[in-house]
Amino acid sequence: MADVVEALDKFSNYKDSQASRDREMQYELLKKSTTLYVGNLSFYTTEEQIYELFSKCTTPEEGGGIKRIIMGLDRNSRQALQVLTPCGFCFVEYYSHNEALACMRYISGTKLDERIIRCDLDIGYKDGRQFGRGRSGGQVRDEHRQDYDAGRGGWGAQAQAQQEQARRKNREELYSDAQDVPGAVAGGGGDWKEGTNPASSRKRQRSPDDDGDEMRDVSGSIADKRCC
Amino acid sequence: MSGYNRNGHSNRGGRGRGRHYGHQQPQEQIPRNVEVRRGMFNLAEEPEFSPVDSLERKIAYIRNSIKDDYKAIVEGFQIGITQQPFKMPYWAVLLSLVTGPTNVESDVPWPNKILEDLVKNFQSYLDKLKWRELRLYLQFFAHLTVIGLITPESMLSQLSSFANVLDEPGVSYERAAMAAICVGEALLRAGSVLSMYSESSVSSILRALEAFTASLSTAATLSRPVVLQHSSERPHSNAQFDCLVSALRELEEDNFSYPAVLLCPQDDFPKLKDMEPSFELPLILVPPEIAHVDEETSVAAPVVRHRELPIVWVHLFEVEPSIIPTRAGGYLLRSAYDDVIDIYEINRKEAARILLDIDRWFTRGTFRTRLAPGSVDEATTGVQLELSVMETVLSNMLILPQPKHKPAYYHALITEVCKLSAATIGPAVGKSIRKIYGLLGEGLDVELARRFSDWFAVHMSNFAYQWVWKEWIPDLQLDINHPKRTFMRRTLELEIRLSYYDRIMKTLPEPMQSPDAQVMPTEVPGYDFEYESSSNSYYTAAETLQKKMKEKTAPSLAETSVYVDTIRTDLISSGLSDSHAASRTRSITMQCLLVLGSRSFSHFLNAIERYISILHTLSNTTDAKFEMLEIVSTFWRRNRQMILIVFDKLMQYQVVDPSDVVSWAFEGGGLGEKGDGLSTFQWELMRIALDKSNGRVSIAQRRVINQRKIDEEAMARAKAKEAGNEGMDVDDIAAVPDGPVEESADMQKQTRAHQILVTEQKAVLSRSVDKFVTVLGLTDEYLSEDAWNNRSSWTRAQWDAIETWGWFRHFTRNYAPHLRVYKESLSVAYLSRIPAERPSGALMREIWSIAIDQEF
Repeated sequence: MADVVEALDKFSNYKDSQASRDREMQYELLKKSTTLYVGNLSFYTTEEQIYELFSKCTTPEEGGGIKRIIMGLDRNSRQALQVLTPCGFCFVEYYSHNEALACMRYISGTKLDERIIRCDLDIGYKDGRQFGRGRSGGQVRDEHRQDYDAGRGGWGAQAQAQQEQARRKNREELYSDAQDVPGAVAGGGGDWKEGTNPASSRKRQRSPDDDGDEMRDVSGSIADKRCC
Repeated sequence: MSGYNRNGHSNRGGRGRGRHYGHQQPQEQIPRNVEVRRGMFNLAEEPEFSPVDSLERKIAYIRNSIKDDYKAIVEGFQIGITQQPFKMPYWAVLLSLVTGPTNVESDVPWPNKILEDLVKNFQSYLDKLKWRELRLYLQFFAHLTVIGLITPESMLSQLSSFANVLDEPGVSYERAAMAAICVGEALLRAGSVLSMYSESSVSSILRALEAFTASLSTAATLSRPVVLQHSSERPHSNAQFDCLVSALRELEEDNFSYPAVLLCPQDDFPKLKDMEPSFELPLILVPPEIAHVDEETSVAAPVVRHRELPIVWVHLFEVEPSIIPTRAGGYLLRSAYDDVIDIYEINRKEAARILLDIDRWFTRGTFRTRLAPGSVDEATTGVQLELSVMETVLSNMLILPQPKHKPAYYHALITEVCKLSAATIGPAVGKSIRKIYGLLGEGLDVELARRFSDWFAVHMSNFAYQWVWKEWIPDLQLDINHPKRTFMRRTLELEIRLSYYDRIMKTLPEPMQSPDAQVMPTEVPGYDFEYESSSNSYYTAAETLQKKMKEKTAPSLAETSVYVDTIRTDLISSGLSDSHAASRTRSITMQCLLVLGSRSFSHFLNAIERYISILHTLSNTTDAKFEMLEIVSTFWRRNRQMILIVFDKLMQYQVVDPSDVVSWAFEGGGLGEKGDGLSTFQWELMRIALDKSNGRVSIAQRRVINQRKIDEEAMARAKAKEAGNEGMDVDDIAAVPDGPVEESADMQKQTRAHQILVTEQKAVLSRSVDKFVTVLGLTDEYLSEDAWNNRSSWTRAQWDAIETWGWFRHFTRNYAPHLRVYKESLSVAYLSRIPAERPSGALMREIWSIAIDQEF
């Protein structure tokens, strides 16, 4: 169809510039990616707002759904303010590739929290990527911004100490416990597995001594991390 | 004539500007054939447009390219026909006028030569049964028959082959409907020529379409947008085939004259007058439906959903100048809009642009002349573009049981349309909202009411939440359970989810802000933690547990688990029975975990993953699972979005089963709305449970099929090795080895998983039918015509009953393919509980049999 019109879910130029993969490998990952990078969020937009909008593209009847949402955080805000604050982007991870594509067609370019947001297919979340890469700790784009953007901390980063909005207060402390260590981000729940619940199988009772990794195995998040 | 085409259309700006066909990365080399064919797609799109000049330009373009790039020109036609069908009259004329360079000899005239290749393309679509492409090709052939290139005899024979599908024994609705539309839409265009050739053949095709349409009337009762339980009336409904047949009859009465709305560019080219038809379409057979195993079973492929019920469009505008799809002109417009909406689903911005400019592809007078914004000249006639666009997009979104694309597509498309032309489309959006709102409480299907509020909230979120709420203030007099009132509450709840409480409150007029109005929730969304206050008897236990949960070091996980058990044993020591102690422990632990996870969706996921083993221990019986759901729903009573999220993830992590959620949806008391029936919110919980269960089965099924393929290949390879053919490609080896295939361990695992999930699926479906029958069996008195006519005095019990009937109707039609598998046992076990003589028993059986025992 590219002859008559370009499809909106064609993979765009956004790249994880820190990933060292060559283009082809990246393309292969994108072809089955279930993760979206979502940009131009207000700093105050909550995960639940994101969930509400992005759940419109899920296909639960095919085993799909929103697996998890990872908020982009300002890595320097912990030092400055003793808290971690969202810095205007997030990753939305689905269970299926088609759900991510549907967002590119139906959600990218529409408004969330009264801002036009942008979605791009992403090669997949890996630990550390939840932090902005700008020098000030937020996103690079906010370093160079000249305009006043109330939803993104006012003026560009250099003039950050502007008066804050009422909503900011609530949001500031929210992610103070976020960690930059492997396994800090939940997996969101994996495929159905036989005998997971003791009620349906008595073969394998979990004991309190089971360690954390064992528990995460239920969600499949370890496997996720390995493949991205 | 500049600025107007032959039919007198003005050419408003917009087209041709900012168009970048196939915008590519700069470094990408565009293949030559792509470049050549792209030169064809702006046919008739010039800003200063006259059809003769435009077609002449393309004829010259083709003449210059055809010798070296013949294939690209054929591709250009293929793409044009299937992706720009609104230009069909132009494509047909362009093909008819193709000439080659004077120095190049061709034994067959160029149009015939190209057409031969296009027919090959048509046949490849036929082999794959790509119905949309087939239908568009037949439209193209129909135009060529009118022009005089294709013989009427061969065109009629094509249409007869498609019409024969209707007589196939046991033909599915979808297949018959697709074939019938192919025939009907071609006949609308070429009826004049074809009936001149053989009136009796055309008439017999038309009678076959009529018979097919008549056979749909019962099934159509389940997909009507407006439902009256007691009556067979069909208010506000346009069944697709009723429209098609009525449009054809209108033409038949007028000797099948060429429809007035369609352009006729051939009139401007004298050389196309009185052509002797020289092209014979080949005889064809419509091949039987085959399952494309590879496409349908790959783990990543989307599930192919077959349509089982006739399409019925909601008819919003009775007197306003929108489309009347029962008239020939109206049907053709509607079908053109539908094709744009469908084909351009991959790019809603382009879809919006074409829709707002669609009048240029129809004759002058079809549409009202566009007025400057603010002008109030009512003297014009014809279809009002914006109103017709809104009605068409919305009626597509409101197709039952499911629209062709996700509702989110239609939301986004309407947003784009509004962004392109806010001043003109705004009033049409407002009128549409008022019309649909007006159907609430007048029988609008509950699923459509749900989709309406979903769209309304998303739409408002894109346009600063500006709605004139004050015009609905008088409706605050209605009973609080009236569908208009529930619509207001639900819509605002959805708006709050997309925004935040204070923001939405500010958009309301004062009478609606008041807590007495019961329009907005009285509080900001939040949770209620039972053990928050130090005066609570279990405060200390809960506080200690919370502290332990907040610690991050690994040993505390075990410690927490031990402490949870300590809470329980302490409670038993204090005199509580074992079961009460277990319940209280469950309540304390689950609520502490919910508090921990209350900060955000991610926090909740972290909490659940960290304490998954405790959760599994706490939910080890069916009653315990039900209690877990009760605890969650009570905790998040003031934030129902969180109930949906938490229930969904509890199922995902297999803490509760989908059938537990179905039970809760009917019986749960956490919302203080116990047991009377199913509200939209409770239906949504039920739906996520049903979808979860079906989704699991669907994945497991694909895995089994995949595994079988892997095993077969492995066996074939092993066999080849034995025979000494190691180097052979797997594809060259017989796919299915002789003799029984030994099941691999993986296969046994996949099959077992599938079996367990199918059993679970049956449990979910059974639970659902069981609960519906229980509730609906008590509603006899609300089903009569008198009861309905007295609805102005209805209160909760009556509205609940009617809504629950609506959800039963949607449940059966939406999950019919799943229910059908167990239809005997479900019917015997549950439906039979209510005698057929009772109104509820009769209605239940009627809905069930239409949805489940489909016969056409």
